[in-house]
Amino acid sequence: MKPIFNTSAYGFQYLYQKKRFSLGVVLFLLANGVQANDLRAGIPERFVSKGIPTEETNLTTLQRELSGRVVDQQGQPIAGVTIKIKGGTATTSTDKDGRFRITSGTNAILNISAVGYKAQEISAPVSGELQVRLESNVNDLEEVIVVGYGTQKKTNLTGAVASIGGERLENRSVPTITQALQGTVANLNISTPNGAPGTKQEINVRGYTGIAIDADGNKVNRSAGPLVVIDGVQGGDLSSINMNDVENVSVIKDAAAAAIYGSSAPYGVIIITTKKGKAGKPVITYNNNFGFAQPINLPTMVNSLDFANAFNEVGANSNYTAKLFDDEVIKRIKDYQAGIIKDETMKNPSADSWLGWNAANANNDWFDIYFKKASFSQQHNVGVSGGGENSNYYVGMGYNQQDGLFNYANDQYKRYNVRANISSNITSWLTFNFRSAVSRAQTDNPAIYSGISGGNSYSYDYFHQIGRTYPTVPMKNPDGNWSEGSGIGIFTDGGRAKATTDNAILTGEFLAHLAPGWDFTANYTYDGTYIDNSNHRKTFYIVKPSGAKDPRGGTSPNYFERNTYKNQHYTINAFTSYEKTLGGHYFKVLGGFTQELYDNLRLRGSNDNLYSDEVPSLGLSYGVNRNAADEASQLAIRGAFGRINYNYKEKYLLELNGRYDGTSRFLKNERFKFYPGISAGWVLSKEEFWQPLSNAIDQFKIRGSYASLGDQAFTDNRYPFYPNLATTLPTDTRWIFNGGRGSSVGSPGLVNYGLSWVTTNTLGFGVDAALLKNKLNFSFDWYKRNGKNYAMESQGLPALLGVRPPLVNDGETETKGIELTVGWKDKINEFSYGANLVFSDYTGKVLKITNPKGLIDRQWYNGMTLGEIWGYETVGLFKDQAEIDATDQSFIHGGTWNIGDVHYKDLNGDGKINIGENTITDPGDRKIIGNNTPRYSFGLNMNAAYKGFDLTVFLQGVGKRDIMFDANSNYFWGFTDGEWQSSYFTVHTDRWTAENPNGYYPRAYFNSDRNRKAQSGYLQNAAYLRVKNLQLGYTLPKEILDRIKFKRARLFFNVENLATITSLTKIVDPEIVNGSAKVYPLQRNWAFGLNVTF
Amino acid sequence: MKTIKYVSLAFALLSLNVSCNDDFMERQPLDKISDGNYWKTTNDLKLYLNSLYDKNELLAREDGWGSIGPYGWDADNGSDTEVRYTYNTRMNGEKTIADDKDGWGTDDWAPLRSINYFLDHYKTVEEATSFDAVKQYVGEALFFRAGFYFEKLKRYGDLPWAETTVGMDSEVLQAARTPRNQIVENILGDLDKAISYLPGGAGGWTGRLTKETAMALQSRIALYEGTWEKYHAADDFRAATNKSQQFLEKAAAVSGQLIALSASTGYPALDNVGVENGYRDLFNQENYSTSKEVLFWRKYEAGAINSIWDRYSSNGAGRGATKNLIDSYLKADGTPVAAGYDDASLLKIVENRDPRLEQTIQINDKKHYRWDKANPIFYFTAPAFDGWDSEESCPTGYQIYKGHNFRYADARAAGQGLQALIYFRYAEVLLNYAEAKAELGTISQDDLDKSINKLRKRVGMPDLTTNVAKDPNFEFSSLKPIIQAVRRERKVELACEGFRVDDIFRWAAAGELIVGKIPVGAKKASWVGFKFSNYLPEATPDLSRQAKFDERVAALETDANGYIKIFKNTLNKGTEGFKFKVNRDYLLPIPTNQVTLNPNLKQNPGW
Repeated sequence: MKPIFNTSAYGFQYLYQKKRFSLGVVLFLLANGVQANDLRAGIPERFVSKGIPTEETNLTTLQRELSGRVVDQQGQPIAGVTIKIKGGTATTSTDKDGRFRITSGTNAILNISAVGYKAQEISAPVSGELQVRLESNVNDLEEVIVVGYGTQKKTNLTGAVASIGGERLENRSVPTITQALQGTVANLNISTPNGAPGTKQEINVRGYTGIAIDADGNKVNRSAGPLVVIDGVQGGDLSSINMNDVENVSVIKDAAAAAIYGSSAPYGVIIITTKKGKAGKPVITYNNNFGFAQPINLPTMVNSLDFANAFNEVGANSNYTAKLFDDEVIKRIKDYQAGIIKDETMKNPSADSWLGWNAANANNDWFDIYFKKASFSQQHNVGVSGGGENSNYYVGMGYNQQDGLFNYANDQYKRYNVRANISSNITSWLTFNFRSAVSRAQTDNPAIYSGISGGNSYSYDYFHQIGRTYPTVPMKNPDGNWSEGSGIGIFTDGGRAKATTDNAILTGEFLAHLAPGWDFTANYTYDGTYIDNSNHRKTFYIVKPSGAKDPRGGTSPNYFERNTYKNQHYTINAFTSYEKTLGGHYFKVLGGFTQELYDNLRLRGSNDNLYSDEVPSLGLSYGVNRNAADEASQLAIRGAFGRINYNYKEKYLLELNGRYDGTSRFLKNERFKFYPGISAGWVLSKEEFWQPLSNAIDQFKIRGSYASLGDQAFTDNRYPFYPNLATTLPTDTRWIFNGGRGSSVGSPGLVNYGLSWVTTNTLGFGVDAALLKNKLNFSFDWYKRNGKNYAMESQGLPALLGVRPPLVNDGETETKGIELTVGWKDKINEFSYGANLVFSDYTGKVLKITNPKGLIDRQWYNGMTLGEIWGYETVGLFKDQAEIDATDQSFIHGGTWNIGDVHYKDLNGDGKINIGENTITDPGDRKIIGNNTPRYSFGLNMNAAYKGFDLTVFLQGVGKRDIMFDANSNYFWGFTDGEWQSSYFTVHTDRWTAENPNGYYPRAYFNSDRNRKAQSGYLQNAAYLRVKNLQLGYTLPKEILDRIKFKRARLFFNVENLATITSLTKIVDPEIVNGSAKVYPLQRNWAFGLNVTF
Repeated sequence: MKTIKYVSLAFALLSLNVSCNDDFMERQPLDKISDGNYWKTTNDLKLYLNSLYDKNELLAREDGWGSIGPYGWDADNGSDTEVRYTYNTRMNGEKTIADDKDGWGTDDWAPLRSINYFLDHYKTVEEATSFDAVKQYVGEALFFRAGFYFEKLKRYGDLPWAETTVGMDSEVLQAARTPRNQIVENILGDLDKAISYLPGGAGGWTGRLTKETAMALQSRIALYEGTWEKYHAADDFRAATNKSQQFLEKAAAVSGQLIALSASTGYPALDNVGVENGYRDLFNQENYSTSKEVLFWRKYEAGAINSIWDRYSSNGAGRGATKNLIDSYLKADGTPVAAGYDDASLLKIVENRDPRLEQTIQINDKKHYRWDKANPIFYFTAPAFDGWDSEESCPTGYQIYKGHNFRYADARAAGQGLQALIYFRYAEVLLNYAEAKAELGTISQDDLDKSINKLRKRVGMPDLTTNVAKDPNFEFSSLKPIIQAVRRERKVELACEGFRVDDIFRWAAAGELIVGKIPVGAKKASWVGFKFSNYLPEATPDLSRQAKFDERVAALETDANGYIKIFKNTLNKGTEGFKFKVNRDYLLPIPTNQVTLNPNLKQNPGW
């Protein structure tokens, strides 16, 4: 709302009367919304017809025309700054060069304010030009926050909404905006699944978003992310956006505020606003950084002699009749380590092959071999913005390159971004915006071999292979070729897996100002993602001692696969709003319509036997396994939404949101539902009775909200109502008839025709406060989110059913949490500093689920706390035979128990260790031993600036979290399923042996998991505190800049993941820990870079 | 001005179609079919059944890395005749109750659902065509259901019976288990129909199931249950009502019918009769499409689907035959070997013995190959005591030759074997016939002549007669001599083909054959001082094995008689032998969760 319309009329009237109709006047008029057409037509009718105001004005007192310029901290002009005479009516705003003119009385106080800046009051100088420097102030309660389909003054917000300015994202040497957002907003939980180049982060707002059952029938937490809205268009992808293009990020945690997006946003909204052009001379910014990343938290392997002895010992524990490493090999290992023999292995005496694994004598730490000491990354970003009278533009271009950590494997991620935002005023009341963003992301990785390498997903396989490779495996055979066991050949010569993802988003938008306070917006967006990925498995050969060559197992015949995806998303939004203030009563009404269509298509072709490995192509293949398939699906969404805002003198605030929503995912009768939200606030600090406190507490507001939202994304299946018959291509079948392989058709799964929306009801309360002249900002929220009609499979049906039960809307969950944000900002002379602390916590619970018997462990059950870990209680390790004889652990292991094995506690006192009925009422000897929910997440961002120097330190962490590693995690346990799947790292040396009866790990076995059950004694604490980011910058002083004709130049040095404090086992990073512990490591990234503006 | 604005707005609004359930919101799958699009032609039935052939639960595949296909199953599943380098924990009573899955999970019951779903839907095609047009496929489905239930029966005994697709509210989900002999009657009923619906195999190989295959399965199942009920009649695993007689008669009848069919049409029949190495070459072929003996088998195809067990079988595959198996072979004159016969070397062992012995295990006679295409030819010289890892060694000294395809030296490294997998061969039916008759007490010389003696003739062994003498040194000496002899014949003919553990269990013989037994292999002395250089010039590739071989042989432990104690002190400290629990371990436990979800299932005895 622009309440300056009338006052500018007075201003015009005055100027018109004084015949001072100069350029300045025109600019003044323009800046105040008077259109050029009106001017050409002469004196605007609407001004004249009003006549000269009859009331007495202050115009006759001593006046002067004051001119001035408003710049920001960097000296950049700020357009659109409102300059107001305090106590008067005259108002103006700055032009594109930050200049303004205003007629003021002597001794007048000028009130200078702009969105995103701290307001200032300055006495009008008696003479000369006024130079004003505004400080940006993102925490200011006067800030305008972007919300769904509009903006809202922060002071008038009734829900939990956080806003992050683009400057918080600047210069982080991380490739994606999600990484930069980690730890910046309380309860915006961002986790990185692994440290591979191009990895997408998982985003979650306010914790548990539901429950699910995985393909193996085991319970899994469902992680649904927030809706991403980029420039008003829903369904964006954060991983493809260039954060240098981002002006602002709003995180809508509050359900009532998100209700305008209805079912699309059951778990919050992230609204990204990209930069817009500013009128004036083009401004070019250029930012870069160059980084070097080193892997952190990798395990260390023991030397080969200790390894061999330990494997022999565990082999003996495991009833192996022969020694895995016999005496001859042990001798060779010793000789090699002593330098007596030089070769890592020798020829197999009984065959034409090189000895490997337990017959070779090398001494390799495969983590050292596989990982680079440092990998390179770089980013370059250029932004150009400018504009003229009727149009302005912003163009951003970015290049982002991240090299992977693998030696030999040569993995890489690259991204190119171009964004162009153009805005044009077509008529006085109609604006047309065109926004486009194009990005290309490329990954180039070693080919994907199932069970050997994970390709660009860096799945479990890859790390499993590295971790299980014996130190005795030679890197090179005596003939100088890579050994087969090293796996290196498969990375250097096994072919490549490449993926190119192109994304183009085009938005056309009309904005119409239909009348004062009445706006209409309509936009149409095409969002297309085109993926081309290929996997080429090249045949390569292992050279045998005789010189003969054998194709490496799995690489012959060679193979090529190509997948192309065309994923298109069409969005229409049309909405209109009207606002009005009547005697302190402010109303705003908004209503609109939205429609989306997702249309996905995938084509897949593969074949083996390529004519040449130099030119991998489907057309150049002659194998019999020629395979062609497609996948196509569509999803339609349609909804009508509305919002009513009301406040009385910005003291009593009320907001109603609602959306009537439909999806093609459900059948007609279940398709449409209405989701409302209500929220209210009371700004106590504006009450009379607050006056005594107002010196200390500038702002104090309490708010509450309740909303009901829908969730349709609980299944990836776009047709969950459709009982399709499973079909298999001939090339995917394994039975050969006399006509060759045949395609096959299988039975359908069970479906529920009545499947419908999940409803989440959220109740929230919050407090916002600003203290000590806005230096200290404080915000606290409490919320409770109920997931109702949760779609779950029944867990009460016997396996005899032979198929997974269908999803039924009958589950119920509850998530409760708090979030706290405290910010401090101050300036002492030239030293400015600040800190922003975010803290959050949540827990979840299952309130209702179909599990009539109360089965535990793999299942969800009523009353379950989400994340809980069931296990036995560990008494300790058996010390003597008498202790063993006094127990009955035969349920766990039917054979002999030995000294050094785990003694489990007989919790129910029945003399036996077992799982009872495996139900909540009879769990046997197990209990809840921990919880893997990350609790007490926090982020602390501290910054300081002095003269040209600036320093930022960002700490981030989790206060409490338990991890129970999987029984078959050889990274954690070392010795697991057999000698070929086991590992022996330095951490595993602290284990029970006859000589080391007080070791941490129990007696080890290759063939028994008796000691590796989930249990209290081996629960790990995954809490951590991490220096996530440290940045030191220096901005060149103005004198030098002027000489080199730069507006701004800054050099900076940046470190990611500098240091970590945790008590978690040293084999895995606490930030990316999972049950297997096998993940691509995070990196410590040292980067330096440059920001220039000219 | 205003007019323009409002007209534009009106247009904008009109252009948006705001009705609710129109075409825009109706989306149907673009790449999926459902029942409505299917079940129209007989080809639809055929394609549906193709998926059943591909299910590992119905037709097991070769087992992948480190396995040697069916020729290792006796070792892998536990038996007295073949072992792996580590002892079988189930045979030692170490099995525990799982919380879920473990053979009784959703995936384990899924094949039954697939089969029943077919049987619930094929009728629409029958209505459109005729029963004759669909009966082959109905027969296949019934065969698969029988095979599925038989595997479950062997593991769990009594079972829930479902012959239509189980729904979420089906009573069977909460019902008690159907007694095992009722299950078997149902299975045999399914097979009766399958036999009448399926086409005969004489017309040439199609890769699909045949009438004769169904008959062979029926004889296998009927014999299994007949003997199970007979020998478990007094223990915890007995059937509620003993129908042993009925099942044995069924076994005899159906195998008799197949024998009669053979006599009248020449299909099926034994292969390689009187051919040198004919028994050996039954098991190492890529293609059995012209075989009259192999009734049903799995084919592999270059570049498409491979078996890989030849990769391991040349080096022992970590498995080996026990002395127990070797001792079971008769002398060439048809009489048993005496206790303490000369087994000082492999050559001695096969001297004057049933020829099947030397065609089952590797002998260093310059005729047994590891690879016959390598240059020079790799003859077998000595068992792989010196294998460099446990999967490439032979722990017993008796390395398995049966099923080893020695023609693939080149394909070995890439794991691209094409060795076919045999599911049913006619020889088994002959043995089933003889055993059923013997158990019924009605076996005649004519019965022997048309069954076991055909097998003996193939390899040049003298005939078995009904008045065979008891062998006091051989197992089952407390049973009738003819039953003892029939069981020996089965043990020998079907050695290392995966039948042994089923036989031990149905004969309730674990008490005699497993409990307390410490498996032993060859005489250690026969390999001490063995010199590769003395052996054969052709053995040069093996010359460098000497040091490692000597070292490993020296480390072998023996029992009091000098035989290799395969598991040293690892099996119950080497002194007590297997601790199989005869009141528990014949059947497997049902997972805890499943008994909790349906308490009427009741846990199996002893668990």
